[in-house]
Amino acid sequence: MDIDIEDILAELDRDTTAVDESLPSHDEIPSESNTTSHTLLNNSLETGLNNDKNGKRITTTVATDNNLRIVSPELSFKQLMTCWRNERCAPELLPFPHELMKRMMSRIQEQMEYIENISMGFLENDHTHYSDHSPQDRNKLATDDDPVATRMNSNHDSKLPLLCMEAEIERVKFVIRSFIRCRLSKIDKFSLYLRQLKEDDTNIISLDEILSREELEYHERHFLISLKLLNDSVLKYMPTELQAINDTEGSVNMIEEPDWNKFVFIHVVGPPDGNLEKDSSLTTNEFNKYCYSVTIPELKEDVELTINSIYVMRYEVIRDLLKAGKVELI
Amino acid sequence: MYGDLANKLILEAKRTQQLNHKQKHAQLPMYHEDLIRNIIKEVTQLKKNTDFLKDQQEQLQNQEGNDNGLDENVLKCQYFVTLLCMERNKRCLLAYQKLRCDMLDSLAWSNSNSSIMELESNDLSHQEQEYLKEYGELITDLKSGEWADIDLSGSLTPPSDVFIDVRVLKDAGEIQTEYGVFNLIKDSQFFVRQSDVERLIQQGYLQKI
Amino acid sequence: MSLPKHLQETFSPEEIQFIVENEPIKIFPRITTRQRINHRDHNNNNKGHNDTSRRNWKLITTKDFPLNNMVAMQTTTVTLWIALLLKQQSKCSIIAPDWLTIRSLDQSIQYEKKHEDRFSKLPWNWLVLAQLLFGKAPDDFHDPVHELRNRIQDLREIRQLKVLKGLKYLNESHLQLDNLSVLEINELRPFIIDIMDKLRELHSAAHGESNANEADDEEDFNFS
Repeated sequence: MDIDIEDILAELDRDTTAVDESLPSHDEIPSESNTTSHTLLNNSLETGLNNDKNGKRITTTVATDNNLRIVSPELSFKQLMTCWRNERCAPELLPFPHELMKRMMSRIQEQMEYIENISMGFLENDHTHYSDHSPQDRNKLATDDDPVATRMNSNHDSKLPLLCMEAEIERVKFVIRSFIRCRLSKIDKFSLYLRQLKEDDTNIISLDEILSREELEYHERHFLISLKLLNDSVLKYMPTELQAINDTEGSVNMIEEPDWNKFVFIHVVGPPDGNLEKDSSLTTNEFNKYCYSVTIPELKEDVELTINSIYVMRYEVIRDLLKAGKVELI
Repeated sequence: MYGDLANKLILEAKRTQQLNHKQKHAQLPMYHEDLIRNIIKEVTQLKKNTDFLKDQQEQLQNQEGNDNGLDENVLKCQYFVTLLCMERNKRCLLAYQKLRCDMLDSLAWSNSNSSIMELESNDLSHQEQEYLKEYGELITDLKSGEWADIDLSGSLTPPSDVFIDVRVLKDAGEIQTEYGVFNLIKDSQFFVRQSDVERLIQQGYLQKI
Repeated sequence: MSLPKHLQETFSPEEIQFIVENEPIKIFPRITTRQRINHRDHNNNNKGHNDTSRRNWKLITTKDFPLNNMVAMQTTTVTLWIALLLKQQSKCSIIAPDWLTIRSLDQSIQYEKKHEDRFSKLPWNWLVLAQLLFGKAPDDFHDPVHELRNRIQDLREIRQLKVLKGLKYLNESHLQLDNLSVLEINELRPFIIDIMDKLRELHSAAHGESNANEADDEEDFNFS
């Protein structure tokens, strides 16, 4: 049975940014086809992989052009969950997933409109059904096992998908909310450190890439009002030589940096494309298991991180593997 | 002794921090204005001392021919200790203010408008009130921008059920939802969509059953 | 702070449950959603004013194909939270996973008792999944739920004891913890990380490689 072609095509319907006229319409694709991969665009560089439940690898091809990105909804959500968990566990602020967030936000908006349309249709049909019920009404309902089920049944199950879609959208919103709130707290914590990054041109990755546009603005504005508060209540009463907020000369460095060596729990997942053979940083150990070899500089100790295993490790040691998506924080 | 006052302030901050670690809701004690003013006075005094010590040192250096190595070392040492005292006072003041700042941030996010109102009149310094107002505006702007659909200040507990039963704890008037109008009278119960009443639960009008 | 302190150290139990709820599970639907007419014709008509489109599931975090093609009493796989929602509405029964039977759990308990230095290969979500299903789908088990519950509790206790014994091996280098579940990790996280970070600081201090991590009382107040 082929589920995934459906999915990719359904995605085409939804993603307003990605419609290729030359693609065959739904009806021309045999729904029982066994094709496991479907190349939508030729200039693909990034490939998202997903295991379906039969263990078969399903390839969703992704275009590199920003405007023509097609990533299946379940893969996007999976990536979002990973980003959220990584961000919550990492001692530093991780780069903002610009593309992923753009996709998620536009999906949410579309879905909200869709839900609204459906529920408006319902309201027209049975407005009285969902108006408020007094405690008396409630008692009447309580005699049934489950008030929701009662109403569902009375409505010929037609509200079930709606209920489900509403639940889903709340879930997505929660993850994004928690993710952003976590990022904001890190932006606050490392406010001065991030400013330092901004001024330092030698960085490989610029602040614009680490932060989203909204985050950049938040960072700047929050810094300014905090500085104003500290100036007005403390700093302006200090002798001139002690008025700096980012004093690195004194006996204690006042700029807080992420604790690069903090211990984190990691799950070694392997290369994101699932191709173990092509990952040149992978080696096989004496038990013939695939692993990444890392070194803890301070202890001059080598450690093998085997795929699918769980470790507690210093963040700095696995930072590159994390950014390459080869380990996840858990 | 120099630094004693700052130490008192920092102990106070530590106590506040521990208190807040145990309780979920941030409680901000009164701003220690007197203590802070006295610490600032101390810094001014210390500054005068350093200026004086510097003068002495220069005078000593200008006296030719005298073997005053010992005196010079004593002066240097005094000067250095005084500087450290000043620096420490500054750190303590900043740490105290920073902790309160963080707590004000939490408060601004927690949405409890009523508790913010209470605080503004009593326990905050003038500057802190100003800060709280500005940070509140920042959050409002952030919420209405790109992430308007997300409700950034919404619940950080994962949604478990979309529809929930709630009991009304205090009269809240009528609310309009997609599913009709609800008249929230004390002690009545409703079956509503959680996201519609999130705010009312946070504000203590409704309770999830 | 924009993220409460208790969420900065580790995930809340509710968040762990949330993570687990996104995993697939097998169900027996009690309803049929597959439509005779080609349902895809309606996919393009998302405006919602048309009756048939309302019956369609259109999801943004998971495949909606299985949901739009449910056939009563034919096994299908859906995301756990959807399964629980359907269950709540009496629209399906949930098929308990193979490891969640008395026989299988007894084997796991045996293994745990036999091997003092390792954990049995339970799925990464075993504890949370068991608790969720006991609470929300108790009538879907073939075995008596209270006995299953006892065994899960036994397993949990045996494993907790092992973890406690293992704590003396905490060091400043690293630790391998295979087969520990997401909830177990989450509970241990603050403790293990705190201790290992302290050991690391001690080690650094003793070897004089870095004195940057001086821990005194003011450290928490460092202005940042």
